[in-house]
Amino acid sequence: MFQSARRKLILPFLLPGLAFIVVFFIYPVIQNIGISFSNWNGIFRTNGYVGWANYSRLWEDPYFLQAVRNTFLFFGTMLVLMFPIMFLLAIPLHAIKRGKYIFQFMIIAPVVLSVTVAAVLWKFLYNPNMGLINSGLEALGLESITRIWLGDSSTVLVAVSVASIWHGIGTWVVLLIAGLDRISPDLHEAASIDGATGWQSFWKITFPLVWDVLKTLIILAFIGALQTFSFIYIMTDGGPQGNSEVMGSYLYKMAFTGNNFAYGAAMALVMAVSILVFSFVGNRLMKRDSIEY
Amino acid sequence: MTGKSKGMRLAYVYLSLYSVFNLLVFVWIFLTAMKGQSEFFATSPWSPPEAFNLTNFKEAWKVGHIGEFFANSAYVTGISTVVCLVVSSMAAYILGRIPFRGRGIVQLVFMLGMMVPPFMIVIPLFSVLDSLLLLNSLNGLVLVYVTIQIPMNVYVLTSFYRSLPTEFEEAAAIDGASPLRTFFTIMMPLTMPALAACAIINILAFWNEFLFALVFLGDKTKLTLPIGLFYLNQGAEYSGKWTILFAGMAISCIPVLLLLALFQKQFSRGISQGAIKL
Repeated sequence: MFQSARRKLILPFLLPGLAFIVVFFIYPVIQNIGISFSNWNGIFRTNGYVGWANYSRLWEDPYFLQAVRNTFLFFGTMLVLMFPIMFLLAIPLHAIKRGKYIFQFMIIAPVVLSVTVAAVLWKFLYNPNMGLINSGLEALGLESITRIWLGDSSTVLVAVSVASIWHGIGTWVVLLIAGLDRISPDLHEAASIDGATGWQSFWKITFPLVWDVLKTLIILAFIGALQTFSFIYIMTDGGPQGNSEVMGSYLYKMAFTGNNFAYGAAMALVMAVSILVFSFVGNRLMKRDSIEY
Repeated sequence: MTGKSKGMRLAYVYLSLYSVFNLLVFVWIFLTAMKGQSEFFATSPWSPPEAFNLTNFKEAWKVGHIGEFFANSAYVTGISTVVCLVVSSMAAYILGRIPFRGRGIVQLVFMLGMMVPPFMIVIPLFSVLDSLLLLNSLNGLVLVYVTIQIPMNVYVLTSFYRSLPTEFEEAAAIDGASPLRTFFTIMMPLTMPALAACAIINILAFWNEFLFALVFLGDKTKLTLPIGLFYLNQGAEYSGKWTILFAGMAISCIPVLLLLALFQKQFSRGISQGAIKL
């Protein structure tokens, strides 16, 4: 009786959510696949089927290949810079008792800012004439280091990734702490009684136990890096000379500045498939017997 | 024991350094927003303003249209958050508590959205919204925003509904309450912790969303804050009105920082429960 009355809710309760998903998500995804095989370039829709032409063009487009290379470089910088900083913030924050709330607030605070605020802020810090960084370096007598950070092909990607790390690090710290919370404090206590140093206890206990979490975080970082767009778009728009162009910014440029919807759609599909493939492969590669203590 | 307390001291030193750096960044935004236009160019970016004047804030609000952008963002964020929570709760209640044939498939349909990048839907959505006459409209943006957060909301809420005991529903049924009433007056309120976590993640995601707002909104009077600020920044590169831009950035920071200060616990819970949106 109670069950059957409840069952009447199934359809009306599922329909609104499904309607949103079908109309504004699944239908567009299918459309995107279709558009990527068409010759739709321009305001008015054209449905001419061109087969794999857009994809083979991608393969030969030096700007796209440069964007792919930069996207991977961006991911590399994230790995090298962000993961150590994440550990350096999460482990102390996990360990302390007093003042946890305020420190956590200060670390998370940039996360809640809009990307525009974070990106414009850093763009200004890097400004060669008015920015804090160059004027600070000059005040310290380090003129030789000053440069046009975002206009120099050797620094631009690192400069943008620093901004993006500053903005997002709070999320990563929270995720890592959730992993650290699962490690029983008894283990560290036992280790320190046995005479282990803090460093040993990190490598022998903490690291193997958070490996599972870390694995997920690396895959998430990869998924995030592949979709990098806002920071690049706001800070450099791909410049100088395409040295910071990434897949996301090139896709936007092609589809919405150049009105080449079909070409953009092909890029989007490449991006989506790469995400699926790499997260699957990454998960497999990093598989390691998880340790039970 | 000494090793441990030394480590603790190091932890505090380290966290304090980082926190002070971030604090100074925020303080710097507000102080720069108080500089006069000529003062801004004449003084070092490191120097504090000569006087605490708020004219830039007023000017940003009116002349820089920050007031309008703020209202647009508040509208889009408010409606999207409420609609998303209600729609997701309804679906999650069914998926979490009522077994039916094909549940696995329905669940998969809801979860698909978590695997696919927004770039995959932005181009076709442009023409979908165009054909519905919802391009360049805040309501069109609301529909897209609700959709992109449904997967995460359904995911978090379904597992919460699954964990609730059955006694409440049975008792309500014995008292003669209809299933619909039981849902809205008993079950949904019970999921408050999960709803709060979803709500705060949704609010932040909508308030700060960039790509869709950039593509779908064109009319200057309909921009949301992130896009409005972006155009203000582009303008400042030419007109040199940096002080207004800084005032605008300061204004847009205030509500989200307040929200975080009040709901930090819900925010962390939301992130670690699968509300990962990077």
